[in-house]
Amino acid sequence: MPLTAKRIICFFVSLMIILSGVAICSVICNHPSEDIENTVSSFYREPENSLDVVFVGSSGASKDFLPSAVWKKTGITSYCFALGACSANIYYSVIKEVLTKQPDALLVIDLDGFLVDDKFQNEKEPIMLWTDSMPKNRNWREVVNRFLPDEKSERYFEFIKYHKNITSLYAYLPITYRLLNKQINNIRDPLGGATLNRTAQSFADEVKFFDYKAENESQSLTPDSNAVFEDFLVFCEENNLKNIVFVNLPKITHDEFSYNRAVDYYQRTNYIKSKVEKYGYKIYNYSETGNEANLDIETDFADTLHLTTPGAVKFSEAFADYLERNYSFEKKSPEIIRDWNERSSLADEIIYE
Amino acid sequence: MSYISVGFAILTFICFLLFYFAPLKLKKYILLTASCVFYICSSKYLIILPVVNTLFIYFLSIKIDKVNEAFNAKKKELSKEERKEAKKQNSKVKKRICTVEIVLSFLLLAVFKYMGFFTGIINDISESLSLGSIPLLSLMVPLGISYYTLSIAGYAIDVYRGTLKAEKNYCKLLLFTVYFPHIVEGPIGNYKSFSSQLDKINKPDFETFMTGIQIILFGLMKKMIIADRAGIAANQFFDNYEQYGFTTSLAGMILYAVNIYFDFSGCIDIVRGVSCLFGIELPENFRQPFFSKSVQEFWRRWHITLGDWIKKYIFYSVSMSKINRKIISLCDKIKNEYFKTTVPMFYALAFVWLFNGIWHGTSWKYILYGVYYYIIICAGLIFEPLFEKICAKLKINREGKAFGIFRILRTSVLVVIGLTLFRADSTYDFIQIIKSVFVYLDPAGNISDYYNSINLSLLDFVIVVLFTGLMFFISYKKEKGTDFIGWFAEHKRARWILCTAEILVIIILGVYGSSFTRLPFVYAQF
Amino acid sequence: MREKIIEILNSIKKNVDFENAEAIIDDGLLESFDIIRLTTRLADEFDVEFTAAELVPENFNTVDAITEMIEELAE
Repeated sequence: MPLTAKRIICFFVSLMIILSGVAICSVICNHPSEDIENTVSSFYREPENSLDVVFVGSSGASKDFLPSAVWKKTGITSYCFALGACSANIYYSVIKEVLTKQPDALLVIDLDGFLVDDKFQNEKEPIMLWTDSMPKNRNWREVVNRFLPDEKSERYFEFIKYHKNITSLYAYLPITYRLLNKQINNIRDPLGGATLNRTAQSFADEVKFFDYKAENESQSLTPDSNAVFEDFLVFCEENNLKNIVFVNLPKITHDEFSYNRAVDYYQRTNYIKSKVEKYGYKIYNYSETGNEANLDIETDFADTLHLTTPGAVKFSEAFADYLERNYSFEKKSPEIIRDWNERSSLADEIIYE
Repeated sequence: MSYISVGFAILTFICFLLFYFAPLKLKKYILLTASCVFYICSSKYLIILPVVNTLFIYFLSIKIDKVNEAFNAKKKELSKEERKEAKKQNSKVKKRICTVEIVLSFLLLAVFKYMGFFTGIINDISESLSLGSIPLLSLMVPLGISYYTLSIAGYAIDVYRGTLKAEKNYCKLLLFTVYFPHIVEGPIGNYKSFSSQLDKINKPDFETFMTGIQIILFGLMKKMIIADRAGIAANQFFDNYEQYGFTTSLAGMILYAVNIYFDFSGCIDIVRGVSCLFGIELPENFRQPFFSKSVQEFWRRWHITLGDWIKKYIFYSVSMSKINRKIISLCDKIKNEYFKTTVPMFYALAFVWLFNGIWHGTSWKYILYGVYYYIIICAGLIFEPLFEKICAKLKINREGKAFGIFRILRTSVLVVIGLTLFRADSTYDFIQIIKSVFVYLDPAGNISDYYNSINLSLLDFVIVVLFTGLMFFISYKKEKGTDFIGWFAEHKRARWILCTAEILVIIILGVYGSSFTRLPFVYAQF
Repeated sequence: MREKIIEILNSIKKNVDFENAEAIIDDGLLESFDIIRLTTRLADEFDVEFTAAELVPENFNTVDAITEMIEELAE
């Protein structure tokens, strides 16, 4: 064999070895967050048009909403498409994905994303967690071009960012195994995308339940949040979204800072209410329900903005009742009922372990 | 443009392709164009500085040559007396021309690099005299000004001394000044060897290409796997040294030495490898420096081209000067033969170490760095006869293995302390860090707390230790004379496996990407 | 002259065979401090003046080269 041909073959064999090595390491290392990846990838394993409700939001929603509890209480099928630390500026992108598989689902939106101060609206890291977990389609490209133009190389070649995880191999091998196992065996997440928080709050100060009620008090959103909210409304209009429920999740306070923040969030919720009424969108402001889920401050809250697992069960049941009262859902066939009952018991095993 | 960037890889790739296919005559112009592009990308319009600097040295060096030619043409006609007189006159003229060249070049260096430092000193003085202060002018520092100024000054002095003929082709001289592999961190060029290689420039063959690739990969491994990883810990330590006790402080200091050695020598390897692709061999800058038995030897093995430059153009120049001759005649009164010839060297050495210190940086700390080595070397020279006597009395074999290891360890300790001074944010910080090694106990904790506290995971720390150990083994073999490049040239399959493995290891274990903070080349700020 | 030069070399560095050495500088038998000591002693002994231009390896690599250099300087 002539020397040049030998060299070219050697070069290509080297290239193949290197690419294979990098590919294997990518599979092990490219994990922005196991919870978020699980939530996102499991969503696509839900059968098309099988979900009545999809909850879109950030960490509050991911901890507070349990599809299995909703099913057991009311027979409503749902999914918790909430990504911890997600910002509201990508809600529209998440909804786009939801609509590809569940176009008729009722959309429940976590208001926390719009209620936060501006400094939380412009964080790049949460957007990266979404782009690095979602399927690489046109939606993904649009989000990358719009929000992360300077970090494009790492979005296209995630290995650049995540290869550091190779030095924590002992943590990432199990993660990779769990996620791949679910993918290969087409296992749907029994928790329906939710994440659990088992540790209750232990604030030293006096903890109070936020039970504010003042319908006339209104406060506009902070400038960046307002811009995001306006964009979101435009998006909803363009996509003809008729059924949306905005939720202000349960909150507690223990000091001046958390109290003032909860007041701000409450007043901003009223502002949003005035803005969305004309669209026929509803607002579920938990602090105006008189704690209808009977949440216990000692056991049901993990911190000022998130519930624990027992709290999530209670809240999900109360919220499910609200949905049942205000919307009508299709009757389910016996197969679906059986399927979801099975999922519920699997979920119960995890929740009550 | 960093040497570790996609941009640089693309530039080198395109330059190599053009260089490979270009006709022989045009090859050096391809290199010159690539070097100018590289310079403009980094410093934009400031390229005018090396261009102008090279231009006046070019013209003035040709002038010196003309003076020599005129003398050589006439000397046969002159008598011995006239010849001596003419030689003296010429000497004066040439010296004047050379002085202008050197003063102008170093003035440019002083203005663009040291302006802030000098105005700071002036302001300190004038403020203490209540005379107000002048505004601090800080200009953008042109790429590699500390390096190319020395390269081009070396050329000028060589022409003045007659060891080199002036270059008639300005483009060749400019290429020597801005040559993109050696402009950022050296090695400081030697015009004789550079131009002779440029004259023999040819289409690179496969073996040259593979040698270049091997050296580049080796350098990348050193820089991206070891240096940058150790750098994470070293930076964390030096920025927060107050929190650490004995063990971590020691680890921090050693990790910095590891960081700067593999960073600098890795960069030099990359640069030499790139230059090798074009068939131009750049001089070595490191020769297993941590195997040195004395600090003097260390500076002959670390940053070799800088040490060589200072020796040739400062140490020898000062040692042969009139003042030095006066000092020698003063020292004639010393009875001891050894001290008679050693004491006068302290004068020249002061210039050497002052220059070394200030070249490295624009603050008093760097001058102290130079003084630190000055004191060590002078002390070594002064106490040399005493040590010989003590060792003879204690029957210690100074050439033996055990004593050799002791000397290597002693030198390493002195060097690590010197490097700590080099890296510390200020002299005060340096003193505190040294204190923490000798005075403060470690805070209680597990072993994992130690390396976690300097931002390294267990595997990161293991990688640094393992790869440093591997490099130590390779250096040891090199000390004993093993020619790795030659061996791999004969065992081509092993070479192919090695290169593939190195690329894979660099991609997987390399420190790059947003989850690490990108660490810039340490020596590139000069 | 040759013997004197060898004597001076041996007084600067003991136990080295300078007489037959072919690369005194290139092989590292003498380094910069030794060169300075050597030139000081040679300047004293043979009444010549060195300049930095003479301090190149070619002039010091063999005893013959050193001899030649001194003879040139003496002119």
